[in-house]
Amino acid sequence: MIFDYETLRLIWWAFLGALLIGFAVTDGFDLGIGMLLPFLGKNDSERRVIINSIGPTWEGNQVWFVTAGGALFAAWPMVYAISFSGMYFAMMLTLFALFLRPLGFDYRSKLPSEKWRSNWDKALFVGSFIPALVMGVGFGNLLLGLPFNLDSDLRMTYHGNFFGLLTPFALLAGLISVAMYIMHGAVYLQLRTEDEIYQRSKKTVIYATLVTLALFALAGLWVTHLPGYHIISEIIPDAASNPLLKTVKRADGLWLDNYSHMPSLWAVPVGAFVLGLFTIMLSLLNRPGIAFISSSLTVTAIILTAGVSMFPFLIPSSIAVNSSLTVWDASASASTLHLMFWVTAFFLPLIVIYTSWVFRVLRGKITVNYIHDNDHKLY
Amino acid sequence: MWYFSWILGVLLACSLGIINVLRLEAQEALAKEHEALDPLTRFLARESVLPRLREKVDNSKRNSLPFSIIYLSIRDFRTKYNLPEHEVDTTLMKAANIINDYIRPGVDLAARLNDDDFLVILPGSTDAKSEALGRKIQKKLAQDVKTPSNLPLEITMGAAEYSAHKEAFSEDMLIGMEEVEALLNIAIAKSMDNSVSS
Amino acid sequence: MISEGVVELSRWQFAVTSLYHFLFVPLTLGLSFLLAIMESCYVMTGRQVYKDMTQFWGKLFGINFALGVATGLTMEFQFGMNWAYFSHYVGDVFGAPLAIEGLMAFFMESTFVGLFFFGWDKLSKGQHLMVTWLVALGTNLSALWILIANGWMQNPVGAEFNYATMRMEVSSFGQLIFNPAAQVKFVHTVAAGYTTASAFVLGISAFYMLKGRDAAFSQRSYTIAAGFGLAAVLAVIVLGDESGYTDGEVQKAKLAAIEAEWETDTPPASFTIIGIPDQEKMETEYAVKIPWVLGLIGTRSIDTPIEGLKEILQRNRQRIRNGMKAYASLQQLKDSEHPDADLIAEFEKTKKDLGYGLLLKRWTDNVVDATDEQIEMATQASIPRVLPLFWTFRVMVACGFIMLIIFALAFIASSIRKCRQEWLLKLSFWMLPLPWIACETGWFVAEFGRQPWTIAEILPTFLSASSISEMDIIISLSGYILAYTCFLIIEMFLMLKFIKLGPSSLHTGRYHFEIASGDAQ
Repeated sequence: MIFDYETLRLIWWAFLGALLIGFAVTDGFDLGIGMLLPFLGKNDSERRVIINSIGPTWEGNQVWFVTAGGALFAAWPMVYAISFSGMYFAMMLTLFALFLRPLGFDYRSKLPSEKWRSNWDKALFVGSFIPALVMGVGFGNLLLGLPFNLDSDLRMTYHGNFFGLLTPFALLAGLISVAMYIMHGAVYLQLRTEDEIYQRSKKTVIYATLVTLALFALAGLWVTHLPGYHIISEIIPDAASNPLLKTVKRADGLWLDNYSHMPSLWAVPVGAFVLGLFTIMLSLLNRPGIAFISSSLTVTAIILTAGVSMFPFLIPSSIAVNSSLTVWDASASASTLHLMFWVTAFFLPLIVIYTSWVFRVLRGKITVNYIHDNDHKLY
Repeated sequence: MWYFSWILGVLLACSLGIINVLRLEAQEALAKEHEALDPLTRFLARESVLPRLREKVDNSKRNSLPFSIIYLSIRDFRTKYNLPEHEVDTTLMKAANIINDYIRPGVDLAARLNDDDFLVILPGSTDAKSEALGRKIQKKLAQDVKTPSNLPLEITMGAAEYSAHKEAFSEDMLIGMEEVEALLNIAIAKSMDNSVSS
Repeated sequence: MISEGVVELSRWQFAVTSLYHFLFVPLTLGLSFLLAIMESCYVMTGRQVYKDMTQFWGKLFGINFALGVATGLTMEFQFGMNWAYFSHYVGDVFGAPLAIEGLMAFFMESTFVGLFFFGWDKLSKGQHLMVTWLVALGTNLSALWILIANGWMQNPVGAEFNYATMRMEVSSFGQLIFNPAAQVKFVHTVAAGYTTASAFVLGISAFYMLKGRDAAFSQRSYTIAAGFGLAAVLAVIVLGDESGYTDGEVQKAKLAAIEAEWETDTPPASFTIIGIPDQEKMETEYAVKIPWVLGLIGTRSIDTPIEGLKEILQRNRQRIRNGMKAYASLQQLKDSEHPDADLIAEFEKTKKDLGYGLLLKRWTDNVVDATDEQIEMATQASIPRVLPLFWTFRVMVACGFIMLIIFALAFIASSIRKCRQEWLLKLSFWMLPLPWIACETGWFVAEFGRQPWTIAEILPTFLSASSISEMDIIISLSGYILAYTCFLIIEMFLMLKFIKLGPSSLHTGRYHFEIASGDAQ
């Protein structure tokens, strides 16, 4: 083994973040476009343009989510178990909404009936809006801490319910998630379409980005007063994974602790603002390709802000603080992390390479004429 | 050990499958070569199309699906104008090309029944459909086909659907090639009263 | 202690969702290869009909794939949602194959499937062919990793229990990946998928030929399906036989239960074709037996005995008592601040029976002081119920052999270009439901036969569930049943519509419902 346990845990925190960010940057614009579908597409052909701009590639993008879940299971099994069973209804809601996507994309245009198609359009909207919202709400709740505790057998019991997750701060996080995906989706639409849809997307980029940044700023201010968590016992970064062996303190404003220890981290949230404004500028200057890079980085910075604020906490417990799951005590064994490191280090670049190839093959604007010429071969 | 055998097995199964298909394609190509084609138009010749028609009759009896034939003739144009051989051929080629445009490749069959007669077999078509198609072809032929020296031609057309006459045939106890002949005759008879001049 | 209701409902939910998921997976596994074969024929011969075949069967593949993806999401979520303790207890081992499945297989299949459908005009023939092969590879690799995970549940090699983290941890990935149970399972399951897809194409092509439609198209589809299907069904049966091998105790119990072997017969044991096994009396009523067959097939020898359930139960009884000691030892280890070498050695000696001790948790939290009555109940529950296994297994095998006969006939007929026989076409058509019946009964045998364990001899099902309320599961289970039924209706509607249209749905102008109508062009 090349890496020690401590390094492996840090690497896997980074990998998990990378997978989540990968999801947000790829499937994020798919979700955004799904939400924009009923608004930016005013008739059947326009809606087909919008759907086909992501039709061939959305499924590959969703795999980032699936793999993030699998990686969570493999590298942070306790986090996986607690988040999925604790936020049971939130997960169920997300799952059922996600069902609508593969069906919606594939089945929508297979029948000519207007009612059939408009129903699937609504389904695609719901299937994009709910996951975006709920994922944001879930993430917001991680910052607040979930009400669970661990017994001496490390069996977890969750003491909350679905409605307990819908607190104002969490809802704000949900709205940020929705807004940033809309921003990102609109930029991608601007890149892939022409004429009316292009103009509508351009307008959307401006509004969505401004809303995202405003909400993000609001959340940032809120966090300064939000109860944060901090480990006060000595951290042994390479000890066996047992969360119960530590002591945790909980107090207002502790989420900013990492920033005070390492001021260069401020670059991340500040970067989110700067990049967001760049996105607007580039979109207005009709450079959607570069705007897309900028919006991807904006989304990355927003998620990274949450990650670096919470480090090393993964899921704090709001009712039994010492049961909180952190990077140092909720991971899989060193050998699993090690094997998974090599597998991931090999496949992630490969995936990026062939995904880029696919996007390259399918590049170009989707127009209404293209839809008409290829009616039966497209979504 | 089983992983390895899976890899081998899949490769083997796929290769064998592909080889089997290629073998059958080759066989079919060979069989097709032995099918007599009319050298000029590359349509089926009379001796090849009659057995095929019989196959269609048998199929239709089995699965009760309709099929129709269209009989087309460029009536008597040889005798009417004493044309040199190559002009006759050119005219017939024009007609054949037009007919080709109207049929589904690989599904419908076109044949040169006699020197100036063509037959089109349309699996799955009913009377109405074959009539309509026949008329279209007839019209197009009338419009576009003239002799090289621009002499007008008379095109006759008759369509017949097998299932419409199946009952009658069985009442008359016709079997096999007899039914084929009978069907042909019906179509030819119809064409007698149906001619369009170009 | 978790309530029985929660565990029961969780099991029902997992059964419903996984059986539902497996309605779509086998078709994906096999049809992807069939598409690759058809397209290879297109590239090699240049004949348009093979491209039409790839595109038409590909359309059906897409309709099916959508639901495979949707129902697959559920499975990924469900381990965490409903089996949280399982996820913690074995996540270190079980999670890795799932994550690798995502990285290696899901990305490949999902990314390239988009190009398969949308890339015809943007890729060269060779490039598109490669894409199709990669889709097929991706789907099969996905099956590989999930079956490595499931194989580990059946035969948990390469992992050890760590008392400091209270979970199983990997000791050898090599053993995990090359687990013989996983290997056999993988080839058997993908072969079942190939069989299903071949039967699908065979049956529908037969339907077209019976209707006298699209002859060239359907004859070629039939031929390809017949060849691939014959190889597949042979592989399924051979590997099914191979799975009868007993790697590990739970597999012994499973084999005995499937064959309703109550007693250890003098070898070679006889095979019970039909009968009604009675779990209380531990005997099979109205049994019809064939002498020697079970012994020969099951052990491939004439003198190795097949253990009967009564003998297994006796052994389990003892192991439960050992398990109580292991549990006591574990408690001591956890309670002491700095456990000494003796304590650790004591635990190490007994820890292989810890799982058996955990079986008692269903009846009492106080495993160490369990009463004799409770021990007896745990013993009786340490083997699966025989009757359901006995019959589902026989249904699966019957389907398998019927399919073997029909595929053999189809292969011979299509090889001599005489597949247009009405009796053969009708048989091929009516064979359509069989592979699905076989697949579902097969999974039932695999999973139900492993009870009462989720991880054989390590973690009982009873302990694996999440600590949620019954109402939670009732809601989610109802939700799944409702949603899945709706989706199935929609999917079948679309599937049947396109099957009825046949290749005319490609709008190429070459097929049955097009032109020859006198009104096109």
